[in-house]
Amino acid sequence: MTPRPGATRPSHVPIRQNHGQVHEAHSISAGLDYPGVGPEHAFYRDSGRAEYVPATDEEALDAFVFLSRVEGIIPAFESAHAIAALRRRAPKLRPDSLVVLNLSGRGDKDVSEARTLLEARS
Amino acid sequence: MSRLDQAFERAHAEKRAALIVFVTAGDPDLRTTAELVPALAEAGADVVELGVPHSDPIAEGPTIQASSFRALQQGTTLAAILEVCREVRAASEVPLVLMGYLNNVLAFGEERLVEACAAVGVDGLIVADVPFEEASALQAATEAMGVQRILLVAPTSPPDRVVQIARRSAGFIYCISVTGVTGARAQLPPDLENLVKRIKRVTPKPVAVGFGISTPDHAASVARMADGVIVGSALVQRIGEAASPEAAIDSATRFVRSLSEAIRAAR
Repeated sequence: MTPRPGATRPSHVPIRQNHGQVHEAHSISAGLDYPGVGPEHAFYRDSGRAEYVPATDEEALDAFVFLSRVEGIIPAFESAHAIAALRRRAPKLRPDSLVVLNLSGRGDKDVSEARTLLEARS
Repeated sequence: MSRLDQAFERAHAEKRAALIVFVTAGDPDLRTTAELVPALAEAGADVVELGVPHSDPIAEGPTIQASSFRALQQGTTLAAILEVCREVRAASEVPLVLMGYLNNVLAFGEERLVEACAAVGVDGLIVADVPFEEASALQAATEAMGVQRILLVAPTSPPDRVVQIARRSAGFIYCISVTGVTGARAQLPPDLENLVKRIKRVTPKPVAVGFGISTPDHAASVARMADGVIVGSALVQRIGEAASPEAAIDSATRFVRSLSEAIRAAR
C-alpha cells in the first residue's frame, strides 16, 4: 500500500491508509514497524535528493546472517535492510565505485528474534 | 439561530445545564445508531455527539477505543455516517455534532465534509487532534457553510491560548476536565471548577465539560458549574455491554434519562 498524504501522531506525513484509517504496519524490525514516513524523508524523496527502495523481511534476515558471517558484525534488523538493498545494487556498480553504507544500529538486540525466525525457516 | 445555540439557550432559560451525550457511530452498527440518536434526544439529551471511528483515536481511553474498533469492524465510513445523520435529521431536530480525527477529515476532503455536514443537517464538528493554528481550511469552510466548529480547552492550555480558542470556537467551548484520555473515572478533578471559571472569565460562550463524567452525581456536580455536561465513555460502555441492539438502546436511554433528571434537579 503506497503511503498518501495524511496526519497522524500528530504530524502531516505520508501514511499507509484506507478511507482515512491508518493501515497497520508490519516489519521484523521494530524501528521500521510504523505506518508513516517522516517529514524529512518525504522531503528528500520529493526533492530528488534520495531514492528509497524496499527490502522484505526475508531479504533483511538474509543480510543479517550475511554481514554476521562475512564481517563478524551483527547488524540491527533496521540496518540489515540497507545491506539487503546494497547486495542487490552492488553487482550493477563499476568495480572501482565507492560505496558508503550507514550501519545505523547493532544487532545484539535482535539476536533472539533472529534465532526464532531462522529456526522457523529450517 | 443554530440548533446548537438554541439548545443552550433553552437549557439556560430552564436554569439548567445542557446534556450532551456521545456515542460512537456504527457501534454496534449504523442501523442501531440511526434509531439510538432520536431515542437519546427523547430521553433528555440536548445535543448528540456522534463519534467518527478512527484507527488511531489518540484522545480516547479503552472504552471508546474498543467501541471505535467495533464500529470499524462493521465497515463504518464517514460517508455512511453522514447518511445516517440525514436520516436522523428527518426524524428529529436534536443538534448533531460529529467528533473525529483529522486524518479521516483529510481523506474525505475538508471542504467536502463541511459541505456534506451542512447538507445533511449536522450542526457542529469537533476534530480532536488538530491544533487551531493548523486548521485554517477547516475554519474557513465551517464559517462559510454555517457549521459550528467546536474547539477544546485543556487544563494545560495557557491563558492567552484559552482566549484564542474561545474566540474561534463556535456553539460552545469543550472543556476537557483532565490531562489524559476519555474514560469513566471514580471522581471529578478537584480543580475543575477553577478551570471552568478561568474559561468563563474570558468568553460569554457556553462552556461544556467532558472527559470522566460517569454518573448522575458527577453530571449534577458539573451542571452546577458549567453550561453543558458531556457524557461519553459511561454511555458507550453500556452500549458495548448490551446483549442486543434493542438492549443497547434500552440501557442507553435509561442511563441518559437518569443523567437528565440529575441535571434538572441540580441547583
